[in-house]
Parts: sequence; structure tokens; C-alpha cells
Amino acid sequence: MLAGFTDQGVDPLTCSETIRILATQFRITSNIPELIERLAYVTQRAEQDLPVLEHCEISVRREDGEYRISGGDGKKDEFELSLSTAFEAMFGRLHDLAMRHFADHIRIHAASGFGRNGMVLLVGEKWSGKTTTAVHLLLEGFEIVGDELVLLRHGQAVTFPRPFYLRHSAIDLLPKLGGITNGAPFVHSEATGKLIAIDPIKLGRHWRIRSAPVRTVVFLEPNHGGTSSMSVCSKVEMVRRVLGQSSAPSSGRTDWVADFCSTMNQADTVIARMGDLASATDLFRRLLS
Amino acid sequence: MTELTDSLPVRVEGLEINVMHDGVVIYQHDHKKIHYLNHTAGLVLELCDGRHKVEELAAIVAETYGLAQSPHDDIITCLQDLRTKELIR
Repeated sequence: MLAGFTDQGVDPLTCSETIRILATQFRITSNIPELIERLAYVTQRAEQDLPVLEHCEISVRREDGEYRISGGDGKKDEFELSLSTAFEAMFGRLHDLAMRHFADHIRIHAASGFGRNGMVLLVGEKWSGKTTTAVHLLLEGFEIVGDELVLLRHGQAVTFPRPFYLRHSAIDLLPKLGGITNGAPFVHSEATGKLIAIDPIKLGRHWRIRSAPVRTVVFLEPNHGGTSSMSVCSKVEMVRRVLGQSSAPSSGRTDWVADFCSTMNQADTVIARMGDLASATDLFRRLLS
Repeated sequence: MTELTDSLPVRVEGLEINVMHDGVVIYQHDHKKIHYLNHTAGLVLELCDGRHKVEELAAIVAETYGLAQSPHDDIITCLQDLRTKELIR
């Protein structure tokens, strides 16, 4: 045994995982196999057609009863007392580092996909059914690539890659999911209840993240128990609605509102009152074909 | 109202005016505030350059939209609204 090391000493870093998030390729090493297993369980495997601008090494180590998270230019080491909080801290670090390359982008809380030679955004208030609609359209053959976050700059949008997180209570609305949700990864919180992680690849879909011009913006309004319908929305009204679901670029870029308005001016802007999903399918098919 | 009628309203500085197909979106950089106007209010705001009195603004709007009567009172209401929003002084 080497001087200074004991049987309870620091373990070597024993396992690793590679994750791609947009323009950043991460290599995560850890002496906690459970963390790496958990990581593989919840991260996405989407194909991403963006150039890799940065390779980043992150390590999570258990040392003397605490967890040290380190790596990433300019990031200080963090210390956590449980595996769960260490996992969250590491995930937050990955997100922050990946987003550094998109500091000039407007962040829009939206589901997203492709149609009419460009991107379609599905925007709505909380509980408006964005993820349920996104998964439904995915099951119906539409190319839907995200349910949470879209990054916009100069009219071009790209989806932040992550699994779709579907409320457990929505599973009954989507019979085509079949047994895919049995044993699927999930997260749970007081605010949202149980959320099932849906991987489009496991649904047999090609999951490809890429940058594209925004062609269609749909604002979802719940119409529970009714039929679904669509109507044209004025550009100004759509700007007002979608800005309420958006954040300014973290870089402080000053022309972002002009960029946003120009994007809405050039897109088809539609309000979808979401009742039954079956009638919504035909409406979306007409809108996006 | 008399005060507005005789004034030469002028836009405040630092406004970004985004003309949309069906209205105007104003971004007030200093206050990081966004305002939504219809095209007529947007036109009035653009004309508030410190050189036009209300009567002149009303005449331009009437000509632009082919109105038979001067929209004098509507212009006063519009200017009051723009002043409330701190877009003109």
C-alpha cells in the first residue's frame, strides 16, 4: 500500500459516460457506478446535427462522506451530501456549460418539431398539454423532437435535447404508448407528480436535433372535454403570448425583441384549442403538410 | 386636453419600434418594457417628433386611412395613452 492511502482512502475513478448536449461533448467520470448507471438511464440519445465546439471533462467523486463535482472552465468545485443532490448539481452543471454556447439565444418554453420545411413550436401555459400533445403527435408519425425548451436566434431555432417528461396521469390519453411506459425512467416532485421519461427512439422514431427556421407557431389552449379547433392568431397577440413563455438571452443582446418579432412575422401563427386528441391530429396534419 | 392640443408631443428616447403585419411592438430598452399598439397608434407614435401638433397628426392619420372627418378626439385619446405608457412626453 502506498504511503498516505488506507483501505478507506480515495477510490480511483472507475467509470465514465459520454454525453452530447448540443455543441458540447461531455465526458463524465466517477467513482460511483450508481451515478453513471443513473445517468445512462435519464440522458437522451438524440442525433444532433450541430458542430461540437467544446469537449468538457466533468468528474463526480465520493470523498470522505461527501460528493465533489468538478470540471468545466471557470466552474468552482461543488460539494453535496447525498447522491441525489450530487446528481442534480452535476446535471445543472452540464446544462449551464452546454448553454454557454447559446448565450445569444432567446429561450422559449415550447415543444418543437418539424413540418413545412421548418420548425414548428408548440407553446402554452403550464398544464396546457404541451407534452401530451407532443407525444401524441410523435405517436401519429409527426417529427416532434422536444417538449420543453427551444433556443432562438435570427429566426433559426434549435431544440434543447432531453427526454420528453410526460405526466403519469396523461398515459391513459395515449393508448398507442402501449407498454412502453412500464419500467420507463421517471422523476417525481411535489409540483408535478410523477413524470415518465419518454425516449422517441424507443417509440421507433428517428430523433434528430437540428437548427431550422421557425415556420409555424402554435399556442395551445386547453379545451378539456371538447373537440379540438384551430384559428389564426394575430402576430402581435402571438408575440405577447409567446414572450410570456420566453426568457431574454443571457448575453444581454439588445436586439432580441426585434429578432423575436421578425420570427413571429414570418411564421404562421395559430391558436389550437386542444380538446380530444383524435380531432387534433387531422388539424395538425393539415397545418403542417 | 388643452395642454395636449397645443403641445408638440415627442417620443422618448430608447424606443425600438417593431412593425408587425397587424400592429406594432415597442420595446423600451431603458425599462425593459414591451408595449403592444395597433397600427394607428404606432403611426401616431412615429409622428411624435416634436414638430407636429394634434391637428396636424389628425390630418395625417385622416389622409393615411382615407377618413372623411378629422379623428381629433381619437388622436387626443391616443396621445393620452402613449403618455400614460411613458412613450411620449
